[in-house]
Amino acid sequence: MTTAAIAVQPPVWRRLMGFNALTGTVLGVGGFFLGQWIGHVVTTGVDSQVGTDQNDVALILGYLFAVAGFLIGLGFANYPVQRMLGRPAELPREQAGGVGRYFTLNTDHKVVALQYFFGVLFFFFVGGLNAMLIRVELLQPTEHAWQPGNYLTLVGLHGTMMIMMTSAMMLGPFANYLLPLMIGARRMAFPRIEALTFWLVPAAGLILLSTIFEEGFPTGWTGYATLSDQAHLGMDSYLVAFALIAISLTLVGLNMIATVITLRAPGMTWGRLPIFVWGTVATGILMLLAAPVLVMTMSMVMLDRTVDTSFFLAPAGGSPYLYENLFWFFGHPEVYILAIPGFAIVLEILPVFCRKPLWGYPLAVAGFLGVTLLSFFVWQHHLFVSGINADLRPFYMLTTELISIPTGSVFLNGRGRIWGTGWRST
Amino acid sequence: MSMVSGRDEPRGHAIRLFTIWGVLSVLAVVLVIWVLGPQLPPGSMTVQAHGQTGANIVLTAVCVPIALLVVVFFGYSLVAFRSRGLAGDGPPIHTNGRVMMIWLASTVVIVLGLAIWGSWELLPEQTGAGGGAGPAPIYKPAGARAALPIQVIGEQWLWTFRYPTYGGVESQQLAIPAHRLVAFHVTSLDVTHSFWAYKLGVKADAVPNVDNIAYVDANDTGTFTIRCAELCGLWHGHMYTTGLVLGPSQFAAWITKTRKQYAFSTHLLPPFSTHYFPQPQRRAG
Repeated sequence: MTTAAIAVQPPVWRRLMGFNALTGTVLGVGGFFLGQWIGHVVTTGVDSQVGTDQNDVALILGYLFAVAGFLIGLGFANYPVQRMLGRPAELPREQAGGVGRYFTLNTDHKVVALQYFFGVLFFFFVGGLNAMLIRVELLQPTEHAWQPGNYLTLVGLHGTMMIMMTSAMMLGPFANYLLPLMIGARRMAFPRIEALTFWLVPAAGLILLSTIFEEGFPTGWTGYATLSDQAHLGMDSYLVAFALIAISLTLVGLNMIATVITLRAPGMTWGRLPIFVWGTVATGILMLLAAPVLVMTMSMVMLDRTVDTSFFLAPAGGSPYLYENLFWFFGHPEVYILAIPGFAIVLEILPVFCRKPLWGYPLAVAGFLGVTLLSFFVWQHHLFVSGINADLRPFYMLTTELISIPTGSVFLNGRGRIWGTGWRST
Repeated sequence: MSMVSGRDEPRGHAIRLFTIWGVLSVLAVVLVIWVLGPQLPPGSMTVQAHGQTGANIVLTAVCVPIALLVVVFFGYSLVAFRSRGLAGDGPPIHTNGRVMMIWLASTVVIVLGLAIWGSWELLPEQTGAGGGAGPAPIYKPAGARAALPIQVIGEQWLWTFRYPTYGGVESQQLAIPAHRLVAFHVTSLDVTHSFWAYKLGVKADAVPNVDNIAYVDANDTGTFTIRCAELCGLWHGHMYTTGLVLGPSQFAAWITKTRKQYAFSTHLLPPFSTHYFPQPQRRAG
């Protein structure tokens, strides 16, 4: 047996061939240079690009081609191509085992969940490292560890890593792993899209990190126009990376909602769903409605920087207020994209240690859905002193305070559950 | 432990819990109002700052008992309801309609009360909030028409202050008179900045092509710091300067001196406008 096993095991170099992250990286690097070259060709004679020391068109095209190459190398083009050639639509019956499967396009929801867990954790630690580097600069008020521009880039990278790369920190690992198990499904509704949502994350993360080779970006994580319009090339890394993450978030939300709607086991009615599944549905709605706005906003900044539109340039008829409104229309629901799954997980865990059923299930569901609804009506509380529509301040004050009613009811659920039980810590 | 014997008497637990919470809340509210309150920002240099300090005291005094309720509840439950060894399952209580209704009703009352009170605080008789209220504020303090206009111009990376009623003189030094309503007209020449005079209780974004108005009425003379509160590029941290609140006669002397000092450049400035149309700046700084 052992000799046979050794005989069929191909050599290492052969096993590295095929559609996997290594091929993806190679094609991604190739795509980057191809895109850059095309960008340089199409901007020949365009003074606003080649007349300066930076060519945004070339860099953005480079990034987009790099993403395309990366995804093709991972095998995301195989299925559409096969369908076009008339092959039947079906998932791969057997997928590779071992550690190698975590570096491939894998449609097993548990594999994707673990990919998410370690992938997002990596960028989470990079964000933490950035915070350490910020503290290094702040050790001494007079001595400087970094150049001013590099320091600003560190601040922006830290914020961006922590907010945008970890947006799917909760749903990516936990919902992908647990949701099918909790509702009695064998997979998610769109397994290939599920794999795509993960593989966009490392693509976006590496593009964001590459900003340090392009002089960084000065805007912090909010990327306010007009500052973003005058910034150096590194700004494009932020824009492309954030747009990719937003595409990923939209698809995660879509996949979660579709799975809960279509793949519940017989008898698993809406009133019987575990509370974490309700939290996932609420978060999915937030992602599906808020993240596309961000894709559009980032695209508009890219257009301002490349083909000289003026969405956000005041002297040319645009308004920085537009960016602030669009950004926070995503930015505030983002808070709840991170918070609601956490609430739901706590509500799921408490009864286990309290050995007592869920307290106030309908109230918890109403709480999640109430937060979801209200979180789309509060964004201007980030802009109270901006000078936008001061007469709307009482409205945004009211909605902001109203959102504490559903949040408070979720707290009541937690407290109702722990009251009068003999809770145990084991 | 005695707590274990009490497990079957939820009423006793509830009385004990609410007693602890009530005593702690009364103590905390007293401390918030009379000990912490006077220390709360932004102080009372201006009428607006004084109003904000009052709002901070009220909000803290309302929030602390609510936060205490949650913390005391969990703390009490963790101590009182822990079971060691092999106890059976907890009571299968699914819900309690009365508790739910009381909780919802009280949160609704607190929230609506705070929203109504907050909106009322914005009304003109209540001196306004001191924040930037856009080009046409609907909540204007009394005497807004006679207010002294001072234009605050943000650009990368310094503040300039223009006095349109004093010949349009521009200065890098901000001085305002005490006991007179001042209207800051905040605008920017390039990117979004934020004019933040913390001790005055004033914060207003400086946005190109926008005239963002904030009113302030100073009580005391003294100095205050001005910072930029919106990340605006490389030397954002250097948009930092010190302003003066002067008595009426001192202010008159100061503005006369400043007009004389800058007479050589004032006539070269562009005519006064509520906002300016700078050239689009790409790839600067």
